[in-house]
Amino acid sequence: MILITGQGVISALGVNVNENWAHLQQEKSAIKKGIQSFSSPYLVGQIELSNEELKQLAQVDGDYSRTALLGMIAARESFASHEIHPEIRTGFISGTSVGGMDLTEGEYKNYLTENETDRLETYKQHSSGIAAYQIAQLLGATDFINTISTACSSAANAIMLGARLIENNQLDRVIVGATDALSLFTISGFRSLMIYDSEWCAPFDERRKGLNLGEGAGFIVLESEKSQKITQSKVLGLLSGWCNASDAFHQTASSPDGQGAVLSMQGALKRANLKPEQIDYVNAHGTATPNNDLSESHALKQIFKEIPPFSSTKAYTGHTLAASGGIEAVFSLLAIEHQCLLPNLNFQNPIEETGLMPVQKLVYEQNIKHVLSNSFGFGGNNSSIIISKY
Amino acid sequence: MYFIHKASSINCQKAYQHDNIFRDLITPEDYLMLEEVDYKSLIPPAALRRMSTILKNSLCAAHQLKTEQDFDAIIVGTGLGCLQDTEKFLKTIHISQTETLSPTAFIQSTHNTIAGQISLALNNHGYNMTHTQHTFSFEVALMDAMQAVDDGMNQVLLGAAEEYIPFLDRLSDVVIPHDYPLSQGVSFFNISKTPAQIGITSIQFFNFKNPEEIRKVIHDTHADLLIYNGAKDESIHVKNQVNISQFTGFYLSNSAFAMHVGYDYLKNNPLANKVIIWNNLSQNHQSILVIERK
Repeated sequence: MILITGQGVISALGVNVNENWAHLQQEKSAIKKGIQSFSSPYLVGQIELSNEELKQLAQVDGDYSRTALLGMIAARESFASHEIHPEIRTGFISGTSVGGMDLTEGEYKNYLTENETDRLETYKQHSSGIAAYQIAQLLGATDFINTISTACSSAANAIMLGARLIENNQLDRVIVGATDALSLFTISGFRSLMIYDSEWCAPFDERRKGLNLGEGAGFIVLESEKSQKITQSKVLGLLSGWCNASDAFHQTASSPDGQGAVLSMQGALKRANLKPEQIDYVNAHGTATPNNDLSESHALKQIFKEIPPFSSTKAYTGHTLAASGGIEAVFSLLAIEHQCLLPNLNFQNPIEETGLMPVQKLVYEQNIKHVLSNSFGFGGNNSSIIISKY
Repeated sequence: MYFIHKASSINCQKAYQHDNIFRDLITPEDYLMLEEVDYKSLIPPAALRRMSTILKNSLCAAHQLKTEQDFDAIIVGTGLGCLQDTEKFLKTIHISQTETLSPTAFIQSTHNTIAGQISLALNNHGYNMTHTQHTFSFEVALMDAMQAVDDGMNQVLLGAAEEYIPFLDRLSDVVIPHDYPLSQGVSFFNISKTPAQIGITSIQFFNFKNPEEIRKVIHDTHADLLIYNGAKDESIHVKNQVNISQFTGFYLSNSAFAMHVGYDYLKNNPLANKVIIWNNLSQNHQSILVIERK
């Protein structure tokens, strides 16, 4: 049994779990016009703190990428009730898609357009594994350090790897999740693919045009039962299922029938030993791109005879890329803790082809035992995890 | 147990489809000169035109290791990923005055383009993973491959890949101090629980640990050959030692090629039983990988 004994999150909704939960209850999107020069023409889910303010919040000083700082804040919150213990092998697995790109892209501009006046020291933060070393050292969780980079499924894959390392007795406890900062690189990237919505994104809606990017980090702590007996940490839930599968259809687009998504959901259900009808809520990937939401809808219809309540929370936070599966793992834990269904904001009309209706209002007094959370990335990288009530 | 069934590398050595690589290691004149490979026989020309060096080489190496059975897992480690396309897209967004940007470079810039393209080329629906952990990128991928075998996946494609761009030369002294010229390369392996001659015994990570601890592990292992990639440690007394960076040049996952060389050494030297691959590129993060004749 893999126990979840910690959670931490920073997103446009707030800098910790409490702020995120408070904002979720207001049923209002945190996506707004960007405040940085590169983000100002667009709608983004940004954290309205400068890097200097983030350093104060993280209680660190020195050269760090924004990606690392966001990761430090969320990972530290998740591990706050924990201590390093000589008998407990503790690891740290992060995920990121941009790494230190938030710093690199600025310096590289100086190189290109300002007579090579870039500060070379800055590039030390570029390599995507650097943030994990910095965060792991901050927490003292250094028995295994790793970073996954599978684009938007990175966090889910970090969670999955952590669970497997505990199962195979390589670690007793591991902090898992992911972090990504907003960058010109990714905004331009999704614009070049013509899937960046200039309006507020509308997941699973017939008129959806694309995503709004966001930034943030989400981490949870996984622990073996043996380890939890020693730490006595509060159990927030169980990680009962996980699976990663490859769609092998296209480098960026999902297959029309959602084959990879079907495989990952099936695999996670099998691993959790659950029947589809036992899933009480699906936190969908739901990026609001025409392709993803249609493909995911088809996949949901193949898995579930009767579609369970489902929603995408990306209309709240924006699509936080690698971090999304970490942030949404925390949201799934909140749905279990508060026995509620989270709404899919900005929804008006179902996709004609599939007719699926997501949850539109926050509803309490539900009986939520098992939550399925999907994360699908570039390269046809599909991951599903199942979080269950303890 | 984790057995190595086949290996395939492309870098500045004579390694691709060669046997006895260890014997034939030479200090290259040009570390950036990749061994010539017939890409066209393996990759469709239209796809090939759009592909960066790292993608072409990774796909070739992966094709070389294909078996009749589909891979259950494709696991790749890369320190800096697809740098050619990353730089290309950075240039586009900073210089291009037009509203419409070409997405190709962006699409191919993410680290998991490599494993993703392999899954597409092989039409593979299995576990697909990409790891990036600076100088440890190969080792963490290897750790995942070992878990995959333990989880019951029998055919695992494990690889590491790195790409050079001239921009890296500017960062040489400040960001990436190194004793040998910057270079690039890919190494891929078939890992399986089906018995073979040579297998992986263990991988140990030492994050922020004392060098004494590492020396002790190396001495206690009694290996026939020690392959390392960072600075020579005079207090380590293993008779047969090789610095792989002398032959490959410096790239973040060149310890993967060290495993290929160690595997090749054991295959061709029947009296040798054990090889240590000591990744000491970084001071704070080192690992010891042991491969052995089974």
